[in-house]
Amino acid sequence: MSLHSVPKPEHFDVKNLSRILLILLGIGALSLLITLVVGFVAPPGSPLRRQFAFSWLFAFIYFFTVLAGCYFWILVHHSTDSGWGILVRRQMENLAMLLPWMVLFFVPLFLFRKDIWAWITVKNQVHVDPALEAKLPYFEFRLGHVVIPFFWLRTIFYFLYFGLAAFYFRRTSLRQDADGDPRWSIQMRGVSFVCLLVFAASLTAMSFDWIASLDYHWASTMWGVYIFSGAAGAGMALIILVVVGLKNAGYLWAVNEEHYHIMGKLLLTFSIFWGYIGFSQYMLIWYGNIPEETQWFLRRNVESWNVLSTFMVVGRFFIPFLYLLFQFTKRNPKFLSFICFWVLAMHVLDTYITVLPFIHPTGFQINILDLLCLFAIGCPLAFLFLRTIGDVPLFPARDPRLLESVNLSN
Amino acid sequence: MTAAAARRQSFAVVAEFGSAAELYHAAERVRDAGYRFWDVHSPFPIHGMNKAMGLGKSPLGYIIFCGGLTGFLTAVGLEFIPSSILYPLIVHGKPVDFFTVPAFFPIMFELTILFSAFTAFFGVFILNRLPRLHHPLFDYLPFRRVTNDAFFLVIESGDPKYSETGTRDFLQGLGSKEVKVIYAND
Repeated sequence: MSLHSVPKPEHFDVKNLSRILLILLGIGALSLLITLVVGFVAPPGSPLRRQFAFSWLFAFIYFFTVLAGCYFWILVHHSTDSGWGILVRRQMENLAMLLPWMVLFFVPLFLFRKDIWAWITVKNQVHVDPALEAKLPYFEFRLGHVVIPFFWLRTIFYFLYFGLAAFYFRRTSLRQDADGDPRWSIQMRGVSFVCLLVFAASLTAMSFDWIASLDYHWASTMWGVYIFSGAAGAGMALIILVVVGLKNAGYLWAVNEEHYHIMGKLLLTFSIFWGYIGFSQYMLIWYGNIPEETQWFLRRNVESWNVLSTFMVVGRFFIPFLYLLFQFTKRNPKFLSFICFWVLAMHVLDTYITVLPFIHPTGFQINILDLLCLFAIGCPLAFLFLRTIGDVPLFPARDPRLLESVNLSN
Repeated sequence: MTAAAARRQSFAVVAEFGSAAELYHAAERVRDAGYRFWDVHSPFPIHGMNKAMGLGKSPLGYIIFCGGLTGFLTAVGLEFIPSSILYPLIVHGKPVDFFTVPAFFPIMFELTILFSAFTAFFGVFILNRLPRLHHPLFDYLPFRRVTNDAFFLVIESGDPKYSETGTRDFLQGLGSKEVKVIYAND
C-alpha cells in the first residue's frame, strides 16, 4: 500500500470561508466590546471589576496554554527527529504563530493587575505579610538600591521567547519549502533542543507568575509540570481537530488513519500524564497536611467546587483514558475528534477550577463574563488562524522526509 | 525412490529473498494465494508486514487488559478489606472509608502495571508456543543468517494448499533467490 510519489503542495482556499470569518469577527468584536466596556466602567474595587479581571485571566490562560501546547509539539517533532508528522507539522506551526498575538490579550491583565495579583498591592503596605516578604525577591529583583520588577521582565521574556521561536520555526520551514535544502531540517533540530529547555523553564515560571502567585502563600513543586501536562494534551487535541477539519474540507489527502492513530496515542499519553501529575501533586499535599499547602485544595474542595473538582478527575483522566485505549477510537477521525472536543472542554474546566475559586470561595458561580471572555479571545484567534492559513502551503512539501510521513504505518 | 526416502515427511518450503522490499511483496502474493500456515523471517521488524501478511489483530491487548484489571481489583481488595473493614485504624487523622483512596492509588497503580506486565510477558510466550527448544528450520544452515542479512519466507506442510512441488514452484515464481524443501528429520 506504499506510495512512491511525493504529494504536490496544497493551498487552502480562504474564499469559501468568508461567511464563517465574518461570523467569527462579529462575535469576537461584540464580546470584546461588551467585556472591555463592563471591565472599564465597573468602579474600582467592585466585585464586577474583579469578576471581569478574573474571567479575562481565565480565558487568557486557557488559550495561552493550549497554544503553548501546540508549540511544544513542534519542538518534540524536531528534537526527536520524527518523520511521522511532516504532513501535519505545518498546522502546529500555524497554531503556534498565534502565540505572538497573545500579547495583545495580555494588555487588559496589565491594566487590571491590582485586581488580579494581590501581592502587587500588599507589598506596598506597612505590615507586609511575612510569607510575601520571603517570596518578594522572586517577583522583584534588587540590584544595589534599585528594585527591578522582575515579574514584568519575565512576562516580556515569555512573549519574546514564544513569539520569536514560533516565528523562527515557521519561517525556516517555509524557507525549506522554497529551496528544499535538508540543512534547514538539521538546523531546526539543533535549535529545538535549546528551545525545549527554555520552554520548560518559561512555562514553569509562567505558571507560577500568572497563576500560582494569585495565592502567593501556596507552594507546590509540581505546579509547573501540572500546567504543562494539561497544555500538551489540549494542544494535541487542537492539532487533531485542525487536521481532521482540513481533511473533511478536502485537503491533506495524504493524511490517513495511521497519522490519526499516532496523534491519538499521544493524546492518550498526555491524558495519563495529566492524571499522574495531578494526582502526585494532590496526594503529597493531602498526605503532608501542611496548612500552607492544603489551602489550595481546600479552596477547591468546599461547597460546589468539590463537585467540579471530582468531575474534572473523571472527565480529564478516566474518560479519555478508557476511551482512547481502543484502537478504533484512535483510527476513526469521527471518534477521535469527539474526544478532542471533550479534552478541550475539560481543559476549560481545569483552567476554570484553577483561576475562579479566588473570587468565588463559597462555590462556583458561572458568570456570563466567563463565556464572553472566552469568545473575546477565542474568536479573534480563530479568525486570525483561518485568515492566515491560506498564506502558506498546508504541509512542508519539500521536506526531505515527506515520503516517510506519507507511507507511515504503525 | 527408496523406502527410507519415502518415509521422510517434508516440513516446509523455504524461500530466500534479497531485501526487505522483495520479502514484503512476496508476502502480499502468498497472502493473496490463500496460504494460512506460513511465516516470514527477517533480521529486523518490517513496517506494514502484518498488513502484507494479512494478519489480524493480536488478541494480546485484550488479554493484558484483563490482567491489568485483575491487578487493579487485587489492590482494591487487599487495601480496602483490611484497612476499612477488618482493622480500621485512623492514621495521620485520615479517614478509613472510601475517602482514604488517595493513599491507596499508588498500590493500585503498581499492581495494575505489575499484572499487566506479567500478562504481557507470559502472554507472548504462550501465544508463540514458547519455550520451544528446537525447530526444524534450524537444521537448514543458511537460515542462521536470518539474524544478520537474510530474508526468508516459510510455508509449512500443515497448510491445506501445501504440495511439495506446487508450493516450491509458486515460491520460485515470486523472484526468490533460492527455494529449498526442508525435511523434519534431516
